[in-house]
Amino acid sequence: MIKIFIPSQIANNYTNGIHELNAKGDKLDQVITSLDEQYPGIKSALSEGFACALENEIVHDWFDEELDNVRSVRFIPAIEGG
Amino acid sequence: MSSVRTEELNKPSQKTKEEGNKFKVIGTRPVRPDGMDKVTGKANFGADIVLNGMLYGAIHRSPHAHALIKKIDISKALKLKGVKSIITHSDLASLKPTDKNANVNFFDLARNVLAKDKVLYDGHAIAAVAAISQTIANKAAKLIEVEYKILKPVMDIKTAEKKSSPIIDKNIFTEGLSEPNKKPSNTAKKVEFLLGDPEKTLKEADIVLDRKYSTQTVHQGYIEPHACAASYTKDNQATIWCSSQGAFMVRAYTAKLCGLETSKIKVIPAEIGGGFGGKTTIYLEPLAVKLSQKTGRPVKIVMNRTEVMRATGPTSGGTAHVKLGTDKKGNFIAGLIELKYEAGAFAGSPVGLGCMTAFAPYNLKHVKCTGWDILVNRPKAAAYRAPGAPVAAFAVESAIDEIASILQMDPIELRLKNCATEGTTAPYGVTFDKIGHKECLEAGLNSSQYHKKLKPYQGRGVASGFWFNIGGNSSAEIMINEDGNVTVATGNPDIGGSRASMAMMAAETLGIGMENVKPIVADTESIPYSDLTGGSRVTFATGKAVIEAATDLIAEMCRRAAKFWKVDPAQVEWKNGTAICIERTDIEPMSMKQIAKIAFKTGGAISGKANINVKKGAGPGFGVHICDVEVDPETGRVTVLRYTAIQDVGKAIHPSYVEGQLQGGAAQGIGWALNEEYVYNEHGNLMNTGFLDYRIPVASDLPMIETILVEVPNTGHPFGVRGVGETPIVPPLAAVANAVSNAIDKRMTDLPLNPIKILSEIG
Repeated sequence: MIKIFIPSQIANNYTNGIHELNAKGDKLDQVITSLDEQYPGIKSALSEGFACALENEIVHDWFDEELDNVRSVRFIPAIEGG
Repeated sequence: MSSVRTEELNKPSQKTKEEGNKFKVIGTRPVRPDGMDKVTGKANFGADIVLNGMLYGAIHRSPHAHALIKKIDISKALKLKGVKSIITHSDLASLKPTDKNANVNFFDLARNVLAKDKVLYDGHAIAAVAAISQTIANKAAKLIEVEYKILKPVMDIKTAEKKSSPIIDKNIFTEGLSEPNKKPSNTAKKVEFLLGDPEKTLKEADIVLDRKYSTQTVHQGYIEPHACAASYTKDNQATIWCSSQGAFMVRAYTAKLCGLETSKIKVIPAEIGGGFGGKTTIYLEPLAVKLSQKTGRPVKIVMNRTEVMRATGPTSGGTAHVKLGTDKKGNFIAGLIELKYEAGAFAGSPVGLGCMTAFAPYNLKHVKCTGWDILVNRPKAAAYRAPGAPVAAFAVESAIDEIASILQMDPIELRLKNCATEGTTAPYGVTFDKIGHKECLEAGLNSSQYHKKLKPYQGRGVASGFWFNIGGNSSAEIMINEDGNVTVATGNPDIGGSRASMAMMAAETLGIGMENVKPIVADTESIPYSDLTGGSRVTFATGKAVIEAATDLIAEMCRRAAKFWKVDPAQVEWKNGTAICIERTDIEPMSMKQIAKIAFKTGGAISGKANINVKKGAGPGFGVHICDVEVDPETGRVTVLRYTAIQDVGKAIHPSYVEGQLQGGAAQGIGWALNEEYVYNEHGNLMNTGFLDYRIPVASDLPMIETILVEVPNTGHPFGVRGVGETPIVPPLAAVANAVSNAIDKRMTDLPLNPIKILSEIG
């Protein structure tokens, strides 16, 4: 089971304000697809403008990243720069 | 870890190879490929473009900070001899509030480049003119008559938050609240990052530093104003010449605002005279394209300095409320920060990034960062180096300095005690790999500046800074020319010396000299898509693309040599810039020059390419700055006596340019701390629209900025590169403020630290 942390604006719109969710899967898109079955629309919402922190990496344009040894996935605003 | 030290900038190291450098090209200091053209004035910037039959553009701008547009009358302007066309917002593509993606809200962008029904800041563009001369265009712009209903301007965060204040944008409903806001608001968004239980833990702290800080709107201060030329031809194709931080960004944004398919636009990047994030968006390009479309002639538009200051992206002023709790030994146990950033007239300040960076340099288990994005009647905030981070760092690093003072601890030792290291989880959720914050602090502790004694009214300030660094989409192609030299093409405008770093990484990979490599910045039809130059990503991500393209080229060269030698390709290897046939001593190695000669016989021209999205591996950057100042107690003037910028740069490809990034960031941050601020009158008109009144530091204001490059290699890059451009602007605000506070023994919490504020504190 992997812990999924989502930002307030997503939580408020899709999960009744719950920020910390649990899901199963070997790859990131599987995990988020399973979340989408519970909370319809959340996958699409997280696909635009959010990167995700997988333990020691921030992944932009997330897709089918392997989740071996990943205990938590934290969605964060996509990082830009100057 | 290794370190390269530059004690004095007037004596930069001219060594061709740094001590301990295991590379042949990387780590050396060759002359930059674009340097000669730039210092002799031959380089073409946006304003230098001249096209046959070209018209000149000018823009009519609002004199009001907040007003409804009741009527725009262009009749007098159109009658002026030489005027060819005038456009307003209605000439742009029709967009809806939902026309947005992860990076940009196109509905807002269109209303920013030409106001729709309301002007939202002093200088907001309303109409654009094309005429046969600049003089006529300027005159016509003045003849445009606009009837307004003037509204009360909302100029600061405090006013914006009042329920009685006018609403700037009725499309804005606060996002991120647990209870959705049913009424429009000037607060666009709330963001929050939480780790542990900071509120409860704070109650257990022996010392709680509770302090509020504020900063003002500042501009990136790039020397080259925005400029572009566009030509729209009868086959419905547009070509744009402009200086920007991303030709593909200009193409995508302009296409959307002009209602064109992306592929109908070609963007040719001009040289860029500074961007610092401010050229990661567009202002003029859709206007030039539309005017060219209407007139059938090329149109060039160049902003003057006043237009740049009034209407292009400053970065947010903001407020910060910090609560930092420690035990008696100085161990940080909980940190809370509430940030409120000005977004300008459209939503989208970098407050989220401020929250994510605020406590990132430290090992804290209990953190809460709350951010508010707030609309005010000022220009839309644009990115500025490490967007959002400097204001947050100013607050946190000032609080740490004050705690060090309370505990009577050395401020670097206090930071060392608490600094993030490998395995620390940052408040935004990432657990760090090998990072160099500790090494930077140790370098600071051992620096010569840190041990110099100070006199009365002199003070020393220290501050740390953090930036994530990013990767992203990059493309590179390397072609062997007929003479055996290579051309390296990438899709990233060269802002900070990327031509040199790309050429050096290609040369190192290929095993040839830098002089055999010509780097070019390709237009949008000559190279696949590349994300813009920003976020300290190019040397890291585009560098990776160049290395992969060079590796691809090597594989092809080995195949060609094998074909020529009539041997199995598996028998051919690449070594020291030559193809060699292993196990066959009778075959002489083949150089790139020789391979170029056999290219046509063995299959045609030879090139290597890589189109990649570097999703991860960008090693975070940490820096530590030390600032010594002297305060004149009679005038309140602050003189920066000495300044050292220390940073973990992973591996410096070209140390001189890396040092330049650190020096530039320090200089901009010193200006932000001491002098720079947007000054508005009571009507919301910007009063300091030029560099005489908006005072960025000049050479005579600053000492030589000393640099110490700490090299903790990034395991996510073949050569160990970390991005370096953003981090250096994060520590200076606090480093300067801490130095001034220590010099006068009064805590300075409101930037800029101009003489008036200092004298009022001294009393």
